[in-house]
Amino acid sequence: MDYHNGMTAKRTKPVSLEELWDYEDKNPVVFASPRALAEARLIARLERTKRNHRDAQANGDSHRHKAVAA
Amino acid sequence: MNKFPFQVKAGGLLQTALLRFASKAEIQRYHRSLSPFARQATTIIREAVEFTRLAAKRWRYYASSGEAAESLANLQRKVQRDSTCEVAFIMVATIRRERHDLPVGLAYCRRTWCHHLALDFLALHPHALGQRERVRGVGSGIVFGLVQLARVLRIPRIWGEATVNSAPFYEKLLAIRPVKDLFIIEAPEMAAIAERQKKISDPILVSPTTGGLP
Repeated sequence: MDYHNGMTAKRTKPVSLEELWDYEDKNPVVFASPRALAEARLIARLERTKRNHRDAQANGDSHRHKAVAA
Repeated sequence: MNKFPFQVKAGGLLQTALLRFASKAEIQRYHRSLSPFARQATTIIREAVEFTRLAAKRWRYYASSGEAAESLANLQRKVQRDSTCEVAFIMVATIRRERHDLPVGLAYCRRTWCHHLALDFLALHPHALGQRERVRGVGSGIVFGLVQLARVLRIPRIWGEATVNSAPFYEKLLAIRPVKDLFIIEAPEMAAIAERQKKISDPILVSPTTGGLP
């Protein structure tokens, strides 16, 4: 309450549950915080990189690299 | 106390859905249940699948360093041990359908260092978005479930980042305008959300325990 009073936001007439559900029907609730989404995408990329690295090692790629380097 | 009920409408009938803490196995199950929808053409279903998969990956990442909870007791223990800890958890909403729980949505939350609840992902399951049998009221119901959780944990504030898509929903849910890039749910909003759910006058025809029609 204090927070909202301190802002420019105004209280509006509360909508009924039916009205809210009608709104949700037309505007499906699929939301993500942009910061959380960015962090999650970064984690996903990191996992992919690690997996690719592991797969490459399992396939013996690392040995080939060593041989080439030698 | 791990389960928080709320009302939804499925097939024109009121039904009790349950919001509960997801364990690692449940998150995996939920993740797998998305596979049939992964190649769907509609943007909203693609986003629902993508957000849920990313939320699950993020949860696993936090869990690998012991910063995730799988139950209310688990979360309470972590907070007791370290009052300023940050803990991630996923709450999954389900309805009963033919003797099994059908997932209809999830919320990815964080208990922040100052004992607030940050809502990072709120996404309906494609099951609930289907044109054939849409489940109504899952989004606002999940928020009501989180309000119940906040009350149990004596968390005074639920907050999150709002986007151009989500801000109008929070304006309606909280009866506040305008909501810009931040929404805050405190005691008055929590009370209003709980009151709105209480006002559902139709009788509850399907209980979460019996599953089918009486």
